[in-house]
Amino acid sequence: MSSPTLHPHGPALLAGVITSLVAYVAGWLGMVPVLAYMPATGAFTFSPDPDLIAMSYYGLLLLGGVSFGVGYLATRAVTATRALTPGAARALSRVAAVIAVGALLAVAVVELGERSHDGDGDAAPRSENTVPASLPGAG
Amino acid sequence: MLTADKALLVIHGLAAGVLAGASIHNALLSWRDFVRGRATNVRLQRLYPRVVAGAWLLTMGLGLVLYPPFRVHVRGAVFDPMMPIATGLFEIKEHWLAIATILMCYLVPSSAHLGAAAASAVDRPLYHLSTIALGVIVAYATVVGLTLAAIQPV
Repeated sequence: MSSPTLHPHGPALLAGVITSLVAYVAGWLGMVPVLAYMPATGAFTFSPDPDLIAMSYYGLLLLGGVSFGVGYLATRAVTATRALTPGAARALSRVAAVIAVGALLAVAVVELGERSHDGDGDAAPRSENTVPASLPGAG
Repeated sequence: MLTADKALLVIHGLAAGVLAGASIHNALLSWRDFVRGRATNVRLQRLYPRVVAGAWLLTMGLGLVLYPPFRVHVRGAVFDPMMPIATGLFEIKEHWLAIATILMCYLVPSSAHLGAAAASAVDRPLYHLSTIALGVIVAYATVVGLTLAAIQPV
């Protein structure tokens, strides 16, 4: 049977994209723990010292990569025994598109919104890649 | 003085130029194919994503190496206290590139199967729209990266 997607493993790739995007945004918003790198000490930690500069970008990329692998492999396991219908594959591609657009817009709105409040003299940045204090779940 | 970080920054910029050229050309092919409905060169549509992937790995890898000194000496010392909007534009660049990296995990393998037989694929719209988005993201990242490096290099 021919695949309804471009790639024979297209549904698994799309599922990987969806899980990866969701995990990345959740990590960026502080909803899940993210590994942070401390340039001053050269150490990785889940509980960075608030007085030191912490970079969570490496951790976010790692989280996104691992989540892609999980989504991809889980869907491959399911589709190995039962092929996905064209309708289900189409739904996966639409969900991936909606989440990707939402993630891109959320990043732009939150980041620019945060910086626009920094011009009042309180220019101390929020910890990199962590949830802005104005959002629910900020820690 | 040309430090190791500055030399890496120059190579990072050159790799970004290759990346921008390939990804924007690829986006234009998708625009012509999917949006305008005109015939395009399938061989180029299969080639550009491979070039993008190679340039992406080099550019991203160098960027990750340069990130700690940038974070401490540029963003922490200059942008955050004096130009918070620069930090905002940089953060958007980094997160958009991360999202684009995730999309590339789908785009690059799928591009090898483009052609007449793929016309009925249910994810064809997503493929072409993602390719166009990738071109826009890389163009934005290149402009912001070059501008910020011109203001305050590592």
